[in-house]
Amino acid sequence: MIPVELLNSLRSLNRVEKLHVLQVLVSELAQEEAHLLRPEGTYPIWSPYDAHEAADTLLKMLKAPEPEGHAQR
Amino acid sequence: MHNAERYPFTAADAILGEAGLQPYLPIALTYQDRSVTVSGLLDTGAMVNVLPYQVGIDLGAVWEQQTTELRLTGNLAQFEARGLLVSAVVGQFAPVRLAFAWTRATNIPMLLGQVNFFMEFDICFYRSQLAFEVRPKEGSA
Repeated sequence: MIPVELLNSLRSLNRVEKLHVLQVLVSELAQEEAHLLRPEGTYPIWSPYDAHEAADTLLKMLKAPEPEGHAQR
Repeated sequence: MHNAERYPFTAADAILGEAGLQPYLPIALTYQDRSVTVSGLLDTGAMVNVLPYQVGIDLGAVWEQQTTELRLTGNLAQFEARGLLVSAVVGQFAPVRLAFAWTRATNIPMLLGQVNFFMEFDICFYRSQLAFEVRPKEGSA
């Protein structure tokens, strides 16, 4: 929430000053957006989202009896 | 019922600010006599838990001794993977057995996925508060 004092201060500015504040804020917001997604950047997605066969195999491993002397603690 | 433990979202990429915050959970893994503490990404879209190659090595696991071969999907499909069972401790909760797809890939986060992390723990995300809560499934010790 924007503090009331800040809003009141902004309202007291003249037209040129208000436009300047606006310009600075718009410019900073644009820079932040540019950081969010870089055009040349790559964003790998590692999630094996449909690895059903692997999931089934791991479940079978969990259900199998542990080999002697090889149990994880 | 267990009390939930609350964790903050943490920054994976400082440049991204709030967009880079992700649910990483500190978890202690033990295999035979060796333990390491790693931060795992809670990944509801991952069918399986994924263990980066180096973490498996740090645990003392030997690649050639893991004979269960797995086929992963997506970007991980290009790497060999093998099944590995470890003991895992989250916070103050009792140890659980987790099954991992141990991948040859190194530069990836550890993923905590549906099989079987989300079968062992109930998770509640509060993204708007940049936090999540973890508790063992009902009926566990």
